[in-house]
This record gives sequence, structure tokens and C-alpha cells, in this order.
Amino acid sequence: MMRKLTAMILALAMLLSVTAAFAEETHEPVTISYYSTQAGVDDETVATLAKFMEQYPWITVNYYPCGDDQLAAWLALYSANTAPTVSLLDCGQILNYSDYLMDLTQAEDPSFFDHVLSGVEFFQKEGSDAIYGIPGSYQGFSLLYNKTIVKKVFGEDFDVDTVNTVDKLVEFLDKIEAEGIPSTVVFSADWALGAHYLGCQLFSEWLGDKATQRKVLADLKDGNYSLIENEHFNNLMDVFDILKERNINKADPLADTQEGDLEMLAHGKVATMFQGDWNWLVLRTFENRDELGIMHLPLTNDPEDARNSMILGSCPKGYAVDTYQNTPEQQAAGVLLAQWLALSPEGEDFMVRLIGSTLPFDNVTAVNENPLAVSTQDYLNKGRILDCSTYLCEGPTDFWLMVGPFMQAYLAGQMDRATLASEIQDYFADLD
Amino acid sequence: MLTRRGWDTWKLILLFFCPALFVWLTAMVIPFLYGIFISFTKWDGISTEYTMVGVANYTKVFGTSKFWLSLQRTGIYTIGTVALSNLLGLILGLLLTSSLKGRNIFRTAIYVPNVVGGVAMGYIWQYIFIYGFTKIGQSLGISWLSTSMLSDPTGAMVALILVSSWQLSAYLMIIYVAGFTNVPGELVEAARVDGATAWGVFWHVRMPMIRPSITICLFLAIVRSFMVFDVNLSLTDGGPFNSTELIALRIYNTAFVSLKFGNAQAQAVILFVIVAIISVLQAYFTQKKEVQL
Repeated sequence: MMRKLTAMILALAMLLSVTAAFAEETHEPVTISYYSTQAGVDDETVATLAKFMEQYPWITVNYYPCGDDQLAAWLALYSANTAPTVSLLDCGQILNYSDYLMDLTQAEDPSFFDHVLSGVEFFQKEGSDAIYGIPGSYQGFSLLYNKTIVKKVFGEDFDVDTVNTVDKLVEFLDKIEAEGIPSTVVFSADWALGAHYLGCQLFSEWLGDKATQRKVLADLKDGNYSLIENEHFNNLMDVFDILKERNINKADPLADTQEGDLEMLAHGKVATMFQGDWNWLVLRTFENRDELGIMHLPLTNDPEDARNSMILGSCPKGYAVDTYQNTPEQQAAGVLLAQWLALSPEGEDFMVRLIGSTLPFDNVTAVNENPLAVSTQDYLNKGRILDCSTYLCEGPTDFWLMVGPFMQAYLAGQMDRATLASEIQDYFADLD
Repeated sequence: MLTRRGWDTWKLILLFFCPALFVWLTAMVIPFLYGIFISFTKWDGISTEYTMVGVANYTKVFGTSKFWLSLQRTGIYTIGTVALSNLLGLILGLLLTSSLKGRNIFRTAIYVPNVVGGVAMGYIWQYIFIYGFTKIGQSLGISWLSTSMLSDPTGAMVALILVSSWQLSAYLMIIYVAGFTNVPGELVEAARVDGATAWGVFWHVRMPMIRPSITICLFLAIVRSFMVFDVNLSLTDGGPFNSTELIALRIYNTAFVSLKFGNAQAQAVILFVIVAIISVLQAYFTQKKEVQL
């Protein structure tokens, strides 16, 4: 009896192993490609892809790094009929080129979307349920601050959450100045002023819900909107004036670099800087990099206004799968890779530990060394993030390029607010 | 009927001619014609379907003041860079063909900037303008040097011209060195025997003899200046407030930031026509003044 049982177990085990082996063999080898707009980490990306290929041995992934001109390089691959199967792209690009990308709700197993935290906007077009990207990261931005300076000036127990009105912000900055420490630096790059300070803040939830934001964008295009009469625009520029007045580079406001400004912040030469948590690849090269955080930038004097206690954020990049030049087999393998990059422990490790980015998923375990991303995660967990995806994903792609220089002129005192508002309206009116 | 010898000649011609023709057609002619075609379309950069819009892109470009402004800036930049780079190249060429000790080392050292890529060089100079010169100005109490040239529209344009000329002059120097080296020694000797001064020898003997070099250098400098992109991108990125956005950078931004490929191509075609006319006229007039021995 015992012998029979043993023989049966052995036979079953053999059958199972044969079935398993057969199942493995059913995977046809497939070669796909991955294009990433995450610059400066090519070796690490290749190492991460090698781990994927270990786990999915029938899939070979070729890596295309982006270089400086991200979109041009991506389009060149399409021109060469070698479109990348999976691309990590900016959300605006994903929606602009959605005709060539997979609606991931139609993927074989779209359950990965269940892990996305509530409140995080997907890569969707207005009026459509199709989703064209898996969030690659979540990025928050507002007023970065040096914790050491704040502790020194306000004491160990000071809570930056209490800075929830414009008056309190002025008081906060002035007290730092009174201690002989420059209170802020305004980073003057056109993209920073045009996209982050103005674009994201102007067309964020400060304006209202997504429908309202879309309407304002449409009205601006139709020439039916007066920006100078808009309260939110004026609040935004009033606060910009406060920062501009206290800018450490006030004497020569356009003579700065991103690295230089971040170094001043990290080394305690200046207390605050309006920027985002995506600067980790630069910040991590500095010795003093851990005592940094993000605080909100209040725009009104109403302490009850919840938006005065929120930072801005969105998923700036997502993994998208090509359907234009890749076969169905490649697309299926591409979905696996995109899903793996976003949600696997190895993908997490890359995005969280190396890039220092927050991930908008409910199953993240990797510990983030980027103190700014920790702040973002904290705001995200508390539901205190103003979504700015309408501007980033649906706004005109060249807003920052065209309007950023006007913001620079405003910063340098070469343009007044009325002219700035008029230039922005002219820009929208001139859109095709 | 071709003879065997005739066939051999044709085969030889085809052997040498066809590869070059193939490269020329695929890398130059077809993209050029394709570019002209795109300028009459509305295209997203990927699709194989093109929406024909006739001359709408050209009409739009001609009616855009920012295009003309950018072209005007490019003209100013070109005049400054062509003049300064050629002057520097000429002086360096003259010095390095004289009996200067260690001239080969100087030639190599001066040529180095030309080997450094434009983007890298632009970033290096950006740091020098923002942090280097301003530090010197602040330390010595020189007010005009205490603020960065790059934050002022005129200063930024001057900086762009200086950096481009610094790089380009090294390249032109090599052509001028070749020109000065080829001036027959007996002509110089004869002029000296006739009592010509050093300036007289330079102006009346050497300069007429290096006119072919001047033709080439002016041509190269004009074309390079009109097409400049990398230094513009990395040194000023068109700033401050778009005051140094030259035409090539504008075309790039129109295509890859604004995603208006047809419009960008229309600008590129207009630029081509302008540069071609100026270059041909320049080559024609300077060649007329060349001396034939």
C-alpha cells in the first residue's frame, strides 16, 4: 500500500514537473525595447532590466536611453520603424500620442490599476475611459525648506503646518531674514517659472475641479478670459512678489543655476526655494542633504482654506505601450514589463531608492532616502496634494517655453503684472 | 555599342560614384526634399498620413513677428561672430606662421576648444559667466562685472558671440595658417628688398595671397553662425526672456516642444533660402577678388 502511494506521489510529481516544463516552453521568445526619459541613470536602468529578463527569460529587452532631447529621440525611433515597446514618457506626450499607444484597460490583466492610490489622476483624455499609461512616479512640489535653519530660528518644536496664510508666510520669511539668513531663492529657469510656479499652480485645483480647469483653458484659447481680473492669478503673483522681494539673487535674479540654488538650500545658505522633490539626483551629491523638507505655499489669508495647507503634485511620467509598430506578442510582453517596472520590488527599488521618487501605489515597501519625497509621501497619505495634472497632461506643451520668458522678465522687473497677463492671453489666443 | 575598355571605365566610375551618390541622396537630398514636403503639411511626427495645408505654414511663419525677431537676432549674432572669429583666426594664423617659438604647441592648444563639444562648452562658459566673472567683479569692486552678462539681453548676446568666436576662430586659424604657409617666400622677400614695411608686406602681399582662405573662412563662419544651435541651447537657452533665441533653436523648439512640425519645417526652408543666397553672394564677391598667379 505504502509503495503504491509513494509511486502515485512520484508519478504525480513527475506529471506536475512535466506540465510545468511544458508550460514554460509555451512562451515563445520575444524581443522588446524600452525607452526611458529618466536621464542620467542608464547603467542602473540596464541593471534593472537584466533583473526583469532573469524573471522572464523568454523576453529580451533592448534599452534606448533618451539623451538630452527626449521627444526628438523618441520620434526618431518611430521614424526608423523601431518604436520602443514600452516608453517612460511625460504625461503630456502620452496623451498627445495616444493614437499610437495601448489603452491599458484592455490589457489581459489590468488589475495593476487597483494598486494606484485614490486621488491620483490617470493618463486619460477628456471624455474617455481609456488609460494610456501606468504611473511611473509621483512628484510633489512647493516650497522646499532647510529644516536646520527653521529649527534654529523657530525652535525644535516649530511646525511648518502653522504657516497657512500669506501673512504667516511673510512673518515666517521675515523672521528668518531677521536672523541674518536669506529667506529664499527664486530659481529663474524658464521651465521652472513657466511650468511649475505659474502653469501648475495657476491651472491646479486652486481654480476648482477638473471641469473648471478645462473650461478656463478653453476660454483662454477662445479669448474669453481676463486673467488680470482672476483672483487666483493675482494671489499667485502677490506671493511671487513676496518671494521676489526676498530673493537672495535679487540684485541679479537671472544669474543662477539649478545646481547652485539647490546647493545653497542644502548647505543652509538660504532657507527656502520653490521647487520639487525631483531634484534628488542633484541633491544626493551634496554632503548636507538630509535636513530638507517640503512645506505648502499659502496663497490667501484664509486659514480655513484647506488649499493653503496643500502642496502640488501629480504623476508626471508614465509607462506606455506602443501598438503602432509592435506585434501583439511584443505588446503583451510590454505590458508585463511596464507593470513590473511600476509595481515589482525591483522596479520600486529603482524608482524609490535610486531616483528618490514617490510612488502612487498602495503596496510600496522600499524606503525612500530622499527627504523631499518623504515629505511628498506624507502629504499624499494625508490627502493634502493639489492635483495639477490638468495643466501637465492637457495644457499646451509649450506653455512653459513661451510664458517662462515673460515670468523671467517679471522676476527681473522688466515687465509688470498687467503686461504679463496680457502676454499669457495672447499666447493662448495664438494657439492653433 | 560600348567596347570592353569603355565598359571597364564605366564600371570604375560606377564603383566610385555610386556609393557616394547613394550616401548623398539618402543623407542629404531625400531628407531635404522630405523636409520641404512636410512644410506643406500638418503632421504629428509619427503618422504616415499627412494633412496637406498648402502654404498655410509659410503664411503663419511670415506673419509671426517672433520669427522675424529671431531672424534679426541671428543676423546680429552672425555679423558679430563672423567678424570676430575671422579677425581672431587671422591674427592667430599670422602669429603661428611667424618664427614664434613653440608655435606647434600653441596651434594645438588653441585648437582644443574646437574639439570640445558645443553643448559641454556652453555649460562650462555658463558657469564662468555666472560664477567666475561675477566673483572677480565683486572681489575687485567692479560693478559692471559683478552681475552676470547672461542676465542682460545685450550682455547675453555679446557672451554668445564671444564664446562662439572663441571656438570658431580656432578652426578658422587652421585654414588661415594653411593660407599664410602657401604664400611664396620670394614674394615676401622681394617686397622687403623693395623697402616694404611689415604692415606693407602683410596688407599688400600676404592678404591678397590668402584671399581663397578668406573666402572659405567667411563662407564657413556665415553658415555655422546661421545654423548655430548647441552653444545657444547650453549657454543661454534663448534667455534672458527669449532675447537670444536664435533661429535654429526656435525651429527646434517649434518642432519638439510646440509639436508644430510643419511650421518648424517651413521656418527651416526659409532659413535655408536666406543662408543659401547670402553664402552664394559672399562666395561670388570674395572669389572675384582672389589673386591668380
